[in-house]
Amino acid sequence: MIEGLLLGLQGIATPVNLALLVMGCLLGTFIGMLPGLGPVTAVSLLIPLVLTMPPASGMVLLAAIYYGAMFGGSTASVLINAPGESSSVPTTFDGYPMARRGEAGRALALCAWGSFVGGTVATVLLMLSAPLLAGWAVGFQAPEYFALMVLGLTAVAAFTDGGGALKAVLMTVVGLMLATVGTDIADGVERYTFGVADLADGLSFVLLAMAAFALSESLLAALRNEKVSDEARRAARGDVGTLKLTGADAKEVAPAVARSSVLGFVVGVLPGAGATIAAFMSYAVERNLARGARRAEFGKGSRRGVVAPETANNAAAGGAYVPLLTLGIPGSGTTAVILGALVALGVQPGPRLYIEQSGLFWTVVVSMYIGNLILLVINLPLIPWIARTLAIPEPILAPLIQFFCLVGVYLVSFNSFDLWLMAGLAVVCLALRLLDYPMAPLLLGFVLGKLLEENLRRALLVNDGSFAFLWQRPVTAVLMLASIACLLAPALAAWWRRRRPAAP
Amino acid sequence: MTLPTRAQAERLMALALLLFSLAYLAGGWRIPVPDTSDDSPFSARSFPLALGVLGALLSAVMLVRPASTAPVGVAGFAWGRTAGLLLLMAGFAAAIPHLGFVVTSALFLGGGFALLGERRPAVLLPVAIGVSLGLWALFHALGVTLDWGVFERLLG
Repeated sequence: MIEGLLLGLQGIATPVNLALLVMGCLLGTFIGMLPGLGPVTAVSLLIPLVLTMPPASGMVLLAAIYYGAMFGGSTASVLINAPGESSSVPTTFDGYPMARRGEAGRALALCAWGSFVGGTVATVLLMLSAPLLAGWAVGFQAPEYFALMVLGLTAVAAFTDGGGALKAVLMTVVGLMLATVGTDIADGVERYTFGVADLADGLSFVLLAMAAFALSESLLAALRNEKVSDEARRAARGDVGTLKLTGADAKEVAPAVARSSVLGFVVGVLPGAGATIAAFMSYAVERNLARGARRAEFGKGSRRGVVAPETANNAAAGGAYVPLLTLGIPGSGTTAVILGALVALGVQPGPRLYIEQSGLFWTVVVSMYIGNLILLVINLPLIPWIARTLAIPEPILAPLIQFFCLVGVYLVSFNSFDLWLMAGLAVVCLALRLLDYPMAPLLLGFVLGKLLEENLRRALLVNDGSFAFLWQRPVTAVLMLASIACLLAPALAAWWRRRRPAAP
Repeated sequence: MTLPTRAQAERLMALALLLFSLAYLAGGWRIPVPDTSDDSPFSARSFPLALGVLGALLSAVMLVRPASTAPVGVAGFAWGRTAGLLLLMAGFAAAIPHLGFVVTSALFLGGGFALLGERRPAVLLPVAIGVSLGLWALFHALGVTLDWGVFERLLG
């Protein structure tokens, strides 16, 4: 492990990689802070930039953007009660009341320290668990990989926010369908290309990520006529109060931070669970554990109420890297986008990554340590300045975001066909989002589609066309049972809620 | 023109997804199977057919189950402006091969700012032209050439 850390330090200690780390943290924070633009949008917007780099640098930048955007999302939660994305929602419960009573700086400092500890603990646990998991998974063959991907897809669909599990599963299937566009590698035949040469290599991942997230989000904001709020204007003046924590603050929140770090990491490792569930769970745990005056403070500006979800969501972000790097299975929308970017960089995450490209693995781990430190040391003091971006007028911001989407896609292929396709897909995604169809399962289905098909094909070939491998191989059987449980869980939960007697 | 209710919109979307799945399924049948794959349990057609059936089944369930009663919340939506932004995007795609990166980008940004309400030349022009030229310069420095279209000749 020490050798691994040294290897990682060697990988990160180049001027370029260090600069990318700082840049990624700052850019991620900036984008994550803008209302409605969370880590998924930040990562998808910056992918075209990432793809111009060598794999190690690209991975460092991706991790920095992810962490930076998580931090930015919490800043928006505290300052203007507009979380950057769903995992920052619980932070508003107590962070915004703290800001309203003039303690915005303290709340932001709690978020920063909580994120730092959560992210650091997660990185240590990643370092310890990833080799074990990679060692266990190296014996996986096509049937196990197939079942693992099915679990990843069903778990994300079952636990996704809003809309319901059926819509999420349908979006997963649509994503898988989109992944079949192009040339089938095994048989060499073209599928769903309609004779268009630009589709022979399939749909571009960057195009779909932009259309589903950044572009459709921007169009939705234009549609809703969202204006800069008074809170944003006030926050943009940079007056947030002291950013320092006292000894009493640290003593008060320490137990919550410790519990939330571990809880967040464990939840983050589970495919589909992710940062949002981690954040809500840790808030609920801390509120239930609190007694007396401490409990009464929750919802009114409790320091534990601010620090718990922030610690948990950063720990979960670190935890999500465990299945991503060691099994090649993304656990959430953001890690699905990151997986797509890694594959485009020529990196195939999975047990082989740790064994055959350990330098790359350790570089990412070390970059996460340093990234967390940068967020604390650089980003936190810069908050009053970064907060000024909250008051960028919508007439300027929306076209700029759309422009960066167009440029991002154009830079991949330099042809207009992709631009037309992205605009068309963005309209479709906009319509789907208005009716609460979630986008993360769509993208995850697309990212995993080709691998899922390939592993199914191999598994069937080896088993003479029989599906018996699904229940005859122990690991595959357990994974498939877990998938079925994930699919049934929302329906069972809804049935249970209906059965409970109504409150008098 | 009155907009559809939530239930109607949900059913329309489910129908659209059903038609998409059926079209996908039909397309799947037309995927050629090479002779070498004739006896194989899995061909280029297998996965698409399975997905088409699954998609059609799920969409059909969406179509017949009770629709959500939550409001779509379209009151006050700026449909005209959003349509304008989409037209600008289409314009960007159509114009960039001819007018090149910088001019097309500046026109897109300027048009977008004006459409959404920012019409002061002192803000619109510097931001639109500045961002376009700035990005061109950045990519040029990174070794990526973004052409000027018909203006290439003018610039020599």
